[in-house]
Amino acid sequence: MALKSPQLRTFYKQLTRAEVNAGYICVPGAPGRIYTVVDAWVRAIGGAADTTTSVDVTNGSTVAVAFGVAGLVENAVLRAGAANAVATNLLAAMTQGTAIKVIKAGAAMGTATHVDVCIEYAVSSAQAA
Amino acid sequence: MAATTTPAFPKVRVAFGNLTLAQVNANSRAGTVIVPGSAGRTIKVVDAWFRALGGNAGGATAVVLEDTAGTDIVSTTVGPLTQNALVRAGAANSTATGVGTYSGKDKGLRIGCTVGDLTTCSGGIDYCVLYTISN
Repeated sequence: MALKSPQLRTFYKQLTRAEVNAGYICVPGAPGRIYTVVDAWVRAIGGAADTTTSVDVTNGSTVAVAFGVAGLVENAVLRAGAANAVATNLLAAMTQGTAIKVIKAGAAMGTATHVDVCIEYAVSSAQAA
Repeated sequence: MAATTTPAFPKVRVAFGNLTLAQVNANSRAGTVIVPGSAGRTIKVVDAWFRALGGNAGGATAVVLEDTAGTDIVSTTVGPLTQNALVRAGAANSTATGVGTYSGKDKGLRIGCTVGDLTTCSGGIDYCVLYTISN
């Protein structure tokens, strides 16, 4: 019997504060493809993040993980599901064709100059779904 | 017996989803297969997490990820499996004895529970298991 589990895909990048505030597309959407975020972590660089509510991993409608600003302490890895990192929609398939992006929620993020972002996700096709 | 051949750059695969209480309690609590065995292949789990939905987990002593021969890989006691809390392998009350160890050849992976039936978490258990495959 064949193993059917999808390959795990990883996005990693150090985003600038401007990219986080404007919204950064980590994984572009593609017709017929469905992304499912299975894990993620972030780390504030250059200072603790402040002023914003959270930094979200989202497709624009489904928030896979919301990393609350209280957990975005300088150089601290904040994992999905830990305190201040609400991961309600981990494992929820995102809408077909939509991208995975990282964006602040609420006011613009301040102080931290960058945010390290690591997202683990799987890809499935609309036909297989 | 031939040695397990580890690829130089193994792909990590992910098995994820939700099991109902009935699926976790099935087969005398051996549970449900989430990754079927494959002839000639061995699986190595490298990470995993669980999450109880619909209530705190109760009834059982632990929710267990094991190979299809019954060897424990991750055993998470129900204590930290409170509603919606993500519990990672190796965290407090989650023994990860078999993480990083090859399971037996041809074996798959399953999730079950120990001692008593799993109860109370009406939405079942979310699981996410990362693993590699070797020949």
